[in-house]
Amino acid sequence: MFMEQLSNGIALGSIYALTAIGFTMVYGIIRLINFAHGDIYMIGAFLTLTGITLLNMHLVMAFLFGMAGAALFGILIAKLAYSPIFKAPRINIFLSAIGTAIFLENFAMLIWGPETQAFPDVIQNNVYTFLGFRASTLQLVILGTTILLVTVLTYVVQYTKIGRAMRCTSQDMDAARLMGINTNRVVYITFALGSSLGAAAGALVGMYYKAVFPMMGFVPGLKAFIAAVIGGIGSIPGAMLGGIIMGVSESLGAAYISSGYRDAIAFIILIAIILIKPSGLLGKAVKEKV
Amino acid sequence: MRILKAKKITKAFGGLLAVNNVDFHIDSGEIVSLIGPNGAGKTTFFNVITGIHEATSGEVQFLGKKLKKSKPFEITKLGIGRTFQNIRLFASMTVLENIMSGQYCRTHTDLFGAIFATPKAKLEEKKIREKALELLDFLELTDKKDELAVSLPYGYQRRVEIARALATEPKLLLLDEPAAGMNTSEKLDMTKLIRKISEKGYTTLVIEHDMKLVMGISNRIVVLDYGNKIAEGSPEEIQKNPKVISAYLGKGGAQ
Repeated sequence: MFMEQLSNGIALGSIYALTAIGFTMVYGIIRLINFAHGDIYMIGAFLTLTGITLLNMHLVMAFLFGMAGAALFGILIAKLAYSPIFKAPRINIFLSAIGTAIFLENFAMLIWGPETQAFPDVIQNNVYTFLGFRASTLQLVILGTTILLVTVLTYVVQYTKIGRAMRCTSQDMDAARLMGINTNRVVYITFALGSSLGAAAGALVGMYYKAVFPMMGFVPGLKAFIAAVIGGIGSIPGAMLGGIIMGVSESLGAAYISSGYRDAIAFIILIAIILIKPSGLLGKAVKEKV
Repeated sequence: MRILKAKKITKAFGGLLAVNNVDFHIDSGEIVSLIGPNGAGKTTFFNVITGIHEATSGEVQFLGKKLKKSKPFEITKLGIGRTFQNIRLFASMTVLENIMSGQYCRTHTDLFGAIFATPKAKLEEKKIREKALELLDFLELTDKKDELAVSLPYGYQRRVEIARALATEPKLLLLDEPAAGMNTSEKLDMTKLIRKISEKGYTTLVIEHDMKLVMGISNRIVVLDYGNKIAEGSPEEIQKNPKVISAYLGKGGAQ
């Protein structure tokens, strides 16, 4: 039982991690908690589903279609909802983010309908046992996809000029601009990358639970936000660590304590970590200059 | 060659004339210093000639073309590189990465190339690195390249900032108070460094308070006071100019 719950937890954690990375990237660049991110996750799941059922795409193609579509949504959100009020106080952008979230949920209901849609069986699910570790094909797919995407992202952020520009922008936007970096473009690229990772998570969840519905992004959005805060918001490795911690402890907690406390456990971990290390596990404490 | 030419620049903020009818030019290879007491309008003038502010009247020409009000990154791309009065390095990056970031506007890799690590993107990345290493060597920072930029002593941080500005391949390099907060020996190093940069063919405009540094490096000095240009000339001429002396020391100092 323990091993089974552990692999459940790791699969769930990978999904939180993917979603949390999108949160943390956007926060790192423009200091905004993008509450519409959970709904991007939902849009990604719906687009992937549409790709498979309506457009008869191959699974991988549909997956990429969902990611690309969600990236486009991310850019549009940044352009239409955030960039006009970028210089306004933070609270205005925050409200705009909540509004965008509500808009996206209703948009999805309008297009795809409010009822839950079944995700077709696209992957044959076998169970593998290895050294007492039990994992299903889907769990392995989720873990593999997450590792692949995170590796690509880490490479882009650490070793390419776009990634360098992103890091510059997050550290000092004005200086980055004066060094010839088009920071607006960097912001859009960040939204695109973060959204496509969120969409990948949504699509994976759709496959895992075989259900896609307009409100599916709300709770995972919150959980991913918690994962990002636990790991230290703004830090990509932190978001991954936070996601895995959340996923594993939720699964184990649900199994050994009570499944009714599933969500409560997430918040208890958050409170405990914030009490001990307010900047998150891998976050840097920011020294206020006086 | 004339790099930058400003004709009868006036900049008013409401009723205040921050810059009043100032002519200015800088030629290829020159080191020109802009000096003046606090509040003389140096920074405003600086912002106007770099296109961050639009002049109320007058015209700025950069490399023979009229300079329009543009976004900061576009100005950098045109060929004006700058450093800051308060050092603004990217804090959690190494010295090498900081300098590599300056090359952003001179390269073309897009997101697609970056994600799929195309050969073109890799080649470009290699070139960026080589160029940055070259600059490190030129500014004698090679042994510091893997250190976090903010962990370096102040004088070195300035050097890194200058290297980063040079990485943008500027036609005109602007140094905003390069010796601010430095001690005597660091100032001396800075003087040598600015000369060395100039010898490499860069055109440099310096805003500075430290007279010793200004007199030591400048081909020409322009003095602003209350938004007006009160003097222009070689260091020797400026030192003797009664208007400059009275602007700095008050009327009694001129006698």
